[in-house]
Amino acid sequence: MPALDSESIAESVPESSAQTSLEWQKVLSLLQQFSARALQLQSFLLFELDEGSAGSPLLVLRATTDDLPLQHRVRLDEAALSFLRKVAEEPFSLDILHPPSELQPLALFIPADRFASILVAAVKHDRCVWGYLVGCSTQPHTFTPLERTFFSLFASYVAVAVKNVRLRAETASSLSEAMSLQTISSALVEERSLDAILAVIIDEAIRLLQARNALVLLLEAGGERFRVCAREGSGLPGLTSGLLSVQDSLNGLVVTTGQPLVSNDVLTDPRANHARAVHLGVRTVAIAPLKIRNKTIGTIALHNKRDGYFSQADVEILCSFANQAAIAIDNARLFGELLRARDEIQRKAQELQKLFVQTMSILEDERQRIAADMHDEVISHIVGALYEVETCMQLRQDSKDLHQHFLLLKQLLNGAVENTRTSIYNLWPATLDHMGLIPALRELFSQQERSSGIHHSLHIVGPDNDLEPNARIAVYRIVQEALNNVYHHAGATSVDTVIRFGPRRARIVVQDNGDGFDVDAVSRAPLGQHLGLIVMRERALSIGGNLRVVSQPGKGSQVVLEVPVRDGHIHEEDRRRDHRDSNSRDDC
Amino acid sequence: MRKIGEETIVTPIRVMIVDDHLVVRRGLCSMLADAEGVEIVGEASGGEEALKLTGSLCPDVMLLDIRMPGMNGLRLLRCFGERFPDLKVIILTNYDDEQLLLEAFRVGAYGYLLKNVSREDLLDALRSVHQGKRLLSPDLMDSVLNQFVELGQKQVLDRVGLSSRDIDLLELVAEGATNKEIAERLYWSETTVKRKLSDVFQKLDVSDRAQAVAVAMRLGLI
Repeated sequence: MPALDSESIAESVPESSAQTSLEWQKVLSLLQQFSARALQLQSFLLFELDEGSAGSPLLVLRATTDDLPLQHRVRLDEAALSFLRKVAEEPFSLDILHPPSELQPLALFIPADRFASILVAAVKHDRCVWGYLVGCSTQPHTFTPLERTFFSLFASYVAVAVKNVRLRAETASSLSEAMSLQTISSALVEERSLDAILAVIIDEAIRLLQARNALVLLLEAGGERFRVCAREGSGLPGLTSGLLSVQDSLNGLVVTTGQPLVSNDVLTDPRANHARAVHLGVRTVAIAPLKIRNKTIGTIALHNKRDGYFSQADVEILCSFANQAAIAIDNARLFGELLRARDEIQRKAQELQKLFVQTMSILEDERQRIAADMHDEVISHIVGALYEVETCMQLRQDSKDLHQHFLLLKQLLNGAVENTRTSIYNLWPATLDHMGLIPALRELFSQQERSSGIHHSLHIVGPDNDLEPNARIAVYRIVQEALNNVYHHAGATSVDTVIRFGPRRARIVVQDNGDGFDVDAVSRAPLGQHLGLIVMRERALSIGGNLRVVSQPGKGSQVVLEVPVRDGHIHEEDRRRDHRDSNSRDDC
Repeated sequence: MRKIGEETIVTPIRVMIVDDHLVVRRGLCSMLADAEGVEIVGEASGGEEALKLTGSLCPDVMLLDIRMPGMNGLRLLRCFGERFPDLKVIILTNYDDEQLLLEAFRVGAYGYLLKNVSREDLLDALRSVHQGKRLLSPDLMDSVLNQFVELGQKQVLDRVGLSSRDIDLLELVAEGATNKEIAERLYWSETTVKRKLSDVFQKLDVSDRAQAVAVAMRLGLI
């Protein structure tokens, strides 16, 4: 008898093998070489006992030395099971032409026209029956106990080989699984869009589980429909996107139960949507739920295992893959939401800025209009009344009492004129229109100095380039607000303002010698407080400038405003044109 | 014409009122109606109308509002130019704006009064302007004087050849600021500060900071 050991069998298995069934094929071929002489067995078949599938156990044809189709599987009834349990203890031979009824399922695989008798032995490792080795003889043969023992020995060689192959396969599979999870994790970091993440998930799932196709089905809001996500060219024509109903489908079942599912015969599976399975050419399927925080957000479904059937191990791998995939999908969705929210916020901010500019413009126009109206109408009417009082005083010089009343009336009316003038000035500094920014600021400073008692100084550095009209009023208001802040909050005794005109920008610095404040604390304060500062900043932005406040408690504060100036050349042109206009005699 | 006393015959001052507000024109007319030596010869509600009527009405003094629809008071004044050499114009306005006031005098006004002037002051104004005196609303005197101080300073500056930036520099020197502090305040480099200082010393003909400050103060520059 030639030497046969498990090593030589195992060694004959190529290192790179991933498809275990092919390796078993080789193991069996090797066995055949030895056994043909010793036992007169011409063919071998290797079955795997699949206990894990839903329902009763299956016997799955894994390898054969003949060119029998490998996609055979048969469900075992109780009689067949008890027979096979007996085999587990001792090899068993039988006449294939007249098999006992309990062996019908096994005999189904063996072409009766070629073989007369068979020997069956259990393939066990660690006392656990993995499957069965069947040797077939073309001659009717009664096997001696010695031959049975030999066959039993062959079966144990196969068991060792199977174990080795399995270990290799499991290692390869774990590695593959780890790599897939790694790929998903990398995609999680690198890919931000949901589509890109889904593409990676589908490709990796197909690779990892040796499937023909994979689909990710994400539950739509309401939970009644799935959104289908598949890969272009993944063999699902017409189903790379779209909607599927959740009801009456295997995927729906996975969503309802939250448990994974395998169906290795979809076309006869009562739970499946057969029309859909036929349409998509689905024969075998493994489905795992995509769960985030115990909530199922959809499923990942793998179709048509390449070398046969989805095993329980496949399901376990798919589940851990699905957990990772769910996190990736959830993150991509959250990231998408975040991006949308950010865009929305940016859009809103722009709208608000626009609205702010418009509001300010309307406000200033309105102030200017009201100021002009008060000037023209209110003051003129009071003045008209004053003149009438003067006339009355002339007409009734005789009455001393009346004279007193007229005097009082004059005082009241003059007071009204003064108050109205102050209100007008506060509404709109007319000097800004007549003379420009610097004279208007000088006027503001002297008025502030009078009313506050704080020493104000104004230094102009560089050529006095004037600003655009809207920039002019904005700068005026910002400086006005800065001075108001100094007056109300700083406790300062002097405030120095330096305006430096550069070729492109004007820089305005308002510096006080007051108490100062914690700028960070103020900017952290809830919205609504320190509105003045926010408005100052927004006004600066609205004219293409910027505003900084520099301060420390005890060290005074500094408001630094930078604004673009009109191009000097254009400015000169304007000035000349204004001059021409003012000297124009066209209207004379 | 009107007889005052026995011998003196005074020709009344011919006054024309230009204001877009009827209530103001009417008030002025009634207030001045009985005034001695004053005669309202006509009125106009805007610059264009005034330009048409002035030649035929021959007023001695015009009470002119600035802000009016169409041609405003200052433009009317510019249009008059040399055309009516004997006409004296008093600006009678609601604007207590010193810049506007200076502009009014520049274009030929003789007086500048705020509208809420008393009858007495207005009559005084009419008479003195008629006699060729320029006059100013007492309320505005303060700010105008400030302007003159600044103007005076500018003239001195022009004479010694200093710029307003040089004055900023001198003020800081007078405060005792170091070159570094000056550089920070005026946004210059320290080198620039040094160069500018030596320029200023040369222009003021001094050799150190203390002298520069002393000279600048004597000239009223700081």
